[in-house]
Parts: sequence; structure tokens; C-alpha cells
Amino acid sequence: MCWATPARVVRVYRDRSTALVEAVDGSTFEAVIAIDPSEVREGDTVLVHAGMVISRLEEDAERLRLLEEMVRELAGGEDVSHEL
Amino acid sequence: MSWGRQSPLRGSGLVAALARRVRRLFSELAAREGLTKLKIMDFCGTHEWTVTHYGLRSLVPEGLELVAGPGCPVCVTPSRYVEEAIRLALDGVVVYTYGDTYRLPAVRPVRGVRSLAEARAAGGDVRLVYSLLEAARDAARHGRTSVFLGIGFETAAPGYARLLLGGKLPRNLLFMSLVKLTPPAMFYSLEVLREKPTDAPVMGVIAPGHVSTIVGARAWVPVAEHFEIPVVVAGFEPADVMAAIALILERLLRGERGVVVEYARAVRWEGSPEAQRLMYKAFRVVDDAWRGIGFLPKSGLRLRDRLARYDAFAELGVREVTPSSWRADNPPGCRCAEVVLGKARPTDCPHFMRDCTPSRPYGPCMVSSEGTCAIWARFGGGGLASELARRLGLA
Repeated sequence: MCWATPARVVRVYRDRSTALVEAVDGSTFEAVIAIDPSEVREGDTVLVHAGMVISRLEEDAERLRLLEEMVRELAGGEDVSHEL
Repeated sequence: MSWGRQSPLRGSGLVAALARRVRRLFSELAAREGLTKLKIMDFCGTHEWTVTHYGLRSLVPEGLELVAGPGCPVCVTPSRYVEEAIRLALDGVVVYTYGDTYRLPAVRPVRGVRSLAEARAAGGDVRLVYSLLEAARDAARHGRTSVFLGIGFETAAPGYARLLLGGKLPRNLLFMSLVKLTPPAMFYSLEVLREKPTDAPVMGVIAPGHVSTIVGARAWVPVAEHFEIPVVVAGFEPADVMAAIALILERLLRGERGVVVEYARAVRWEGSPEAQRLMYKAFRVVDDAWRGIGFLPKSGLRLRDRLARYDAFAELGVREVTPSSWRADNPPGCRCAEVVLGKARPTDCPHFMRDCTPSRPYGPCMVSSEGTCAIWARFGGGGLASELARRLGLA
């Protein structure tokens, strides 16, 4: 039960226990915020599992830079930046 | 309008570069340690999905076996609880369930009914939902006595807790807590895989990424220390999993163990303290039964007394499984329990793809999209093609 999908936060509801999120396919639904609500803001990308926000995803650019660094090192110096 | 895009982590060139690295590291390690074979456990059903769906087994050296672990809650929910849910549905209680649990076969039929799907066909009111919130909204509309089957791991528990503690469930909706905790299962399966005779040692673990968003990477430190193996918390794209394998091999070569977070875009070392607080405020830890396996200490969650009014066990007379009442609860010949523990592969089971298929599951591992048998059946897990070829006299 690790299945989770990324979604974008459209609106955090007033009591901050739920948020309206938009899935990658454009559909929207209400999800329970299982983590600290102060970490969830409109426009954030979050992971949703069984209708529950379980994590906020870090910004792609920074993450990809770190991943590229790690992967390049792991791949023994091969330039894989065009793949990222 | 869609805002997402294809993940760059699926780039085949990136995965190929990582696969080359994995092969180099494996050769080096095998030569140094005098090994021909080693195992890495991918604990989580979704990791097994990535491994099998993207054919990652074909990219790693032959001597590096990726073993699927017990990370499928539907596979390990005792048959008794499914039977109890069937009984409630037949007695007029509205039963809310996730889609995979709906098809989960019980080992002992209740009035001739073997699953919640059959219970609905027999006139029971069984409703499929995506979330507890959806069940709460629906139950508030009709007002009839209802129960939600609260299956899941640590990923699900804090969200359940938020709704329960926040009073968001209508009075007519009860909660059957069947939540399981993953670290005890990881300990148990690694112990089992260490038992002699073993064909190859488990030398690393790919830890569940989304469970770790809640419990934190630090939850796996005892595993790394006790078994003296590297544990990598990984994401679910093919490059995440290949990077995790490379990290495990690299650490083995350096003589380092410990826990590494590959899934840094989602997982923090300490996890989510708020989610953990919610989880333990709503739930207490109990020794719990795992389907086909038996009781594992401190491996399940039940509602605390403060939430007793929502507790389906007390309010609806749901019978708990106890260590003395637990019986092996997989159907005859089904090897799901061994598959869950990484001791057998789906293709080792006499029922696999004969009388047990995704459309007609015989055992629990064939039901959920996270069940190893269902994944191998859909995407052809390692050995399936050769097994079929052997059966047909082609190999």
C-alpha cells in the first residue's frame, strides 16, 4: 500500500484538515491532509495515497539537480544529463 | 487540463547507465566476496510493480535476485476479517471497502459467500470507495449503520486518524481498524530469509518510499543495524529503483551499512512528526495476525478508547483473531504466505496462472495491484516466460 500519485493543491479548506487537489489527469477531488497542514499550500505538488495527502514533493528543479549529481556519480561519470 | 508531465526518471538512457553501473558493482562485489548470488528485497508492492512492469530484473546481473517482500496489506489481511465483513454485509450493514479488498477471497465461506463481491451479488450493500472521506460523506447521506474496512499501512493511518479525531465521521459509520505496521514485517521476513538452508543471502533492502514519508527513513535504522545490511528508501520510478540497487551495492563494497534516502523529494529522515502524532493519538499498537503467516508482535493498530464509539470491533461484535484462534488461512496449496515473505516466487505455486488468475483469484496475492502474484501475472515476472516455455516443451 505504497501506491500514491502526485497531485497539485488547488485549495486548502478553512479547517485545514482537507484540501481540493488536482490529479495529473486534470480531475479534482477532496483529500485529507495527513501531515502538518502548515506544510501544504496552494500550488504545491503533493503525494496522495487513498485520498490522503502524505507528503509534499520538493520542487523538481532542485531535486533533479541533486538526482543528476547522484546518478552521474553512480553511473561512473557518464553524462546522463540529457536523460533528465 | 493536465498539469503533469512524463517523469524524467523514466528515461531509458538513464536507467541503462545505472544498469551498467549495477553490473560493474555486482561483478566487483561478487569477486571480492566470493559470491555467485545475492538477494535484495524490495519490500513494497509498488516497488515490485516498478521492478516487474519495467522489466528491471532483465537489467540486473543474473546473480542479483530481486525478492518481493510483504508490502501488500490486502495480501496479509487475515481471512477472518474478510469473513466478518461478509457477515456484516449479509446482515444489512453497509460495508465500505477499497476495490481490491472487494475481490479478496475468504478461506471459510459465510453462508456460501466467499468474498465481498459475492456478498453484494447476494444482496448485501457493499460499496467501493477510494477513501474514508468518500465513505463518510456517503454514509452521512443515508444514515444507515455502516462500516469502513480500514486496511493499510502507516501511509493510511494518519489520514484515518485525522478524520476520526476531528469528528468527521457520521455517528452511523464505524471503523474496522486493520492497519498494519511495516517494520515488524520487514524484520520477520528478513529473519525467515536468513534461515538455513538459504541459496543466497539478503544483502540489502529497498525500503518502502511512501510509508517512509510518514515514519521517516530513521524507522529503518534498526533493520540496517540488526541485519548489518544497507537499506535504501527509494522512489517508484525505474531510475529510483535502479539507483537504489546501485547504492546498496556501492555501500556493500565500501563496507558501509546504514540507511540512505534516495527518495529525497518526498521523504525526510524524521518523516512527518505531525502524522506520527495523529497516528498514535488515534491508535494503539497490538500484536496482529498476518494472513498465512500468523501473529507478529506489535505489528497492528487498533482504535484507542477515546474513539471507542467508532470501533467496529466493539460496536458491531466483530470477532478479533487471537493467537489461539488463528489458523493458517490461505486456501489449500496456495503459496501466498511464502511469496509474501520472499521465500517462494509466484511461479513456484501450483495454482499460479492455472486456477488462480487476476480475473479469478484463488489466493490473496493475486487480488491487489500490489500483490506479487497479480503483478507477475499482468507483466510477466522473472521466470514466467521460461516457466511457460518449459510447460509447453519449448525450453
